[in-house]
Amino acid sequence: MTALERVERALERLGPDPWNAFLHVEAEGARTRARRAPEGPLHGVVVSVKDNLAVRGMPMTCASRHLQGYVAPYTATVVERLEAAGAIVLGKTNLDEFACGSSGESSAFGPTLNPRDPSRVAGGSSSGAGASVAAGVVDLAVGSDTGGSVRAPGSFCGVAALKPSPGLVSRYGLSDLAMSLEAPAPMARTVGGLTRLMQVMAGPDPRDSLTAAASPFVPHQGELSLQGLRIGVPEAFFEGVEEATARPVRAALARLEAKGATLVGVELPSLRFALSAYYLLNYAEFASAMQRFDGTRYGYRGEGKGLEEAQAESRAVFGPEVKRRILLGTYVTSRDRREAWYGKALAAKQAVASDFQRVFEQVDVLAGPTMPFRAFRLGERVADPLAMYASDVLTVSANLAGVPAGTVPLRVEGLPVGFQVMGPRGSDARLLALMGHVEALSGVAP
Amino acid sequence: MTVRIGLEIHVYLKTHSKLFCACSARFLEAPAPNTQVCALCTGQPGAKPMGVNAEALRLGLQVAQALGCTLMPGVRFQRKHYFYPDSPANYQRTATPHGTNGSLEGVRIRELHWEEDPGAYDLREGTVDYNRAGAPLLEIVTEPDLRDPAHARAFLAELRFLLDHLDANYEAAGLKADVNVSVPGGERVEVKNVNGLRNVETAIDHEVARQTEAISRGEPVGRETRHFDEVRGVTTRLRTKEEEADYRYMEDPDLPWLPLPPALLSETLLPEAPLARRTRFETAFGLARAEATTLLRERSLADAFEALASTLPPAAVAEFLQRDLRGELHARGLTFTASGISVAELTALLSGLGARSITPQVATRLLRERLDFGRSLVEGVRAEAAEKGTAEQAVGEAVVAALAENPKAVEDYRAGKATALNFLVGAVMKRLKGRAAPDVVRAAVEAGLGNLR
Repeated sequence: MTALERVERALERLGPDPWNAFLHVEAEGARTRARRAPEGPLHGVVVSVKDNLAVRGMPMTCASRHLQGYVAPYTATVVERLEAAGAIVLGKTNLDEFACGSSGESSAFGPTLNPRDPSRVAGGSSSGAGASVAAGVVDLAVGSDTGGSVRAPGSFCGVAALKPSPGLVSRYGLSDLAMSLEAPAPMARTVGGLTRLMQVMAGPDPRDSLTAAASPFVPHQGELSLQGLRIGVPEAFFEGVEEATARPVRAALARLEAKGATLVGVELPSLRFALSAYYLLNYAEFASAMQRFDGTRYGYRGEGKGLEEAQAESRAVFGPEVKRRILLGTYVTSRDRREAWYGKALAAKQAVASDFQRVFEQVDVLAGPTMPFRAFRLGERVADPLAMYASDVLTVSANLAGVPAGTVPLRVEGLPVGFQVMGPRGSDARLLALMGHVEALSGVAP
Repeated sequence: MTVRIGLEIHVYLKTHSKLFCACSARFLEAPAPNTQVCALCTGQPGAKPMGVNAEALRLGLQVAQALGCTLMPGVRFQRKHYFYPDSPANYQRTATPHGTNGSLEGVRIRELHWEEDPGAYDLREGTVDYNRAGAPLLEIVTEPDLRDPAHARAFLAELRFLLDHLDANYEAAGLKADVNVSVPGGERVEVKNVNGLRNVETAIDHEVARQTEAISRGEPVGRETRHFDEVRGVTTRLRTKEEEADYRYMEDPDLPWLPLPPALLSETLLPEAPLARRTRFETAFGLARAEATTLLRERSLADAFEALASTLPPAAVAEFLQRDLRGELHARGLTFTASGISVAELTALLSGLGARSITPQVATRLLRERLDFGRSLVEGVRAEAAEKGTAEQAVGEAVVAALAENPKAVEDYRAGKATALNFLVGAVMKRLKGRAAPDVVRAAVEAGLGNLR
């Protein structure tokens, strides 16, 4: 198939986008690019890009009314690399507003519907990225992961996803949620697709100083031996997890054991405060990052007498979850409270990182379910922020600890279930190799 | 209790690009507003800082060394949050100190650190120019050790000398300072954003007088921040302590801890701290403080001086460099480095002067030809000396011939007839067709007559 034929097929499968997966479709632009897509490892491959990543000349809304009409004046490093490798960007995908959410429902432009069951959420915040792959529109998608933002939609939509090690993938061009925890992250129909994306996306970038020490991503050579592989299984990973999720995950673990892996029970005591620490850091960093959206340079400019009033009006269009996080983040970093809140959260992050470091001396990887439950119904949790936050309980620890984590869809009846693995920092290639085994043994046969 | 004055001085570091991006830092040379900007320095969503500018690091470390500071093992960049249109992201990146506990001119230096400059907001027009946003600043914070405006002037002059020596300051951009003044019986008052050395002195003068007067009238002087009105030379109240904003300082998650390891320091710091070097110039070469200061103001000139003074008399070298050479350079708006004059050239010129093979007038002419037409000094000195040699030889030959041709005049001279000497000089001049100085010829004739004896 030629690049142009692939674009046409993707557009045909997308149709009128019944899932609200895309906020912007670049149909003509994609056709034009397909005609002159450069040769490369991703030549002619159609990809979707989450709408919190900058692509020069395309709208970038971050699913917020504030940025409606904003066109990015530059291109994110990861997108630049994808295009240089021959990939064609079909459009920008839906997300929770400024990536603040776990279900995709906080988008100012309406929730993304789960292609497996349109009455249910797609998971967030990379909701459109997950749906664009699950619906078969594209094979590869770029999302971002701050506390599980590609793994949640991966798990809910039945798509593979990887949250890479910090410093491996450039964040240049990724609008901030919590800078210290996040990175652009690949989503794909298969684990092989994740590897292809990582080969193009990863590597040092002078425009993101945190990637200075990164080495290029090299896929695991040969087959990863399961013989003697030590898989840590913290019981805490199964606490409060619904049976329909726990059962297939345990079955997948048993299949790995049957192939020679050793299952090891491990303790991660810091897990019980990981979720609270994660959200405090998220608020604090997010409030800082959101300072720039004041309507002065770009974005919605509010009416008002004087500068302060106009800036306040410009910010009044943020949705409730965004406002909640800005307020809480400002509170926990204010002069008199920062030690009690932000300071403690930083210490907790350190404790989680130490816990993981210790446990990775005992085992090679950690495994368990990605989400505590399968995709829930639209509207089921929106009224209760704490219930929404609770869905991230199994994913946030990897971001706090600064380790890679991936999800593989399991072969199940009904709604998809994700199998999550985490490895030591920098073990991304090995982790993908292991995910390949899970896919082969227990996955949705590609 | 006495008057206590402290300064927070912001120096624009002389780098090519901004602190965290590749945009030009020479904002005064920008062709138009907002032409030297990128996604980062206009605060676009998703833009990230690049690593810290290496030139800014080098200059900042050298200034810390020059001020005798203790160097820190590394720094963290923090975000200082405030809403103002000149700030592209509504927070400013400012580093933790990289040097502490220094001193200069009897003033303790508390610390110095790097930070980025905001843009330029035109309140009346309601426009912002971000060409300046992200330009690298060095903030130098003193303890309140300055006694009075004269002390401040001396301190700032000395600081200026150090910055010149290190070529650290983007001079055209000026220098900004926050001035803290407290008088007995009052609290600390901060005057923000005073531009230029002269205004710093004016602001200090004004504040000392204003606060002293207030106290004498029995009015309290509370902690507050004031604005300096350049036109009227007075300060006005901006806000009291209670109105101070909470900047919510927070480590910038986009920038990693920046280590300043010994290996980096050893390749960055100067082999000798500037003030120590000046003292050595005074003692080793017998220079006066002012002379040493002038020579050291441009580091390459000081280096040239040292190279020359190792083989030539230091006093003569110093005099030539700071009077003749700097005079000619100054007249052309050139620095020594920009002139491209080498130590070898200066060696030739000064050796020629020393050996009297060229005159001071000729030396000046050669220097000008070098600066205006690029004629090498080595070649110029050689040609001048050769010409002088040829001329001397011609005179000598003419004298020998004239004496041989006029034995009568020689006899008369020996008999004590003074007019005979004039005749012989005239004969030589005639042979040389007048192309020689009469006194030179007279001396040569007298010498020739002496030799005949």
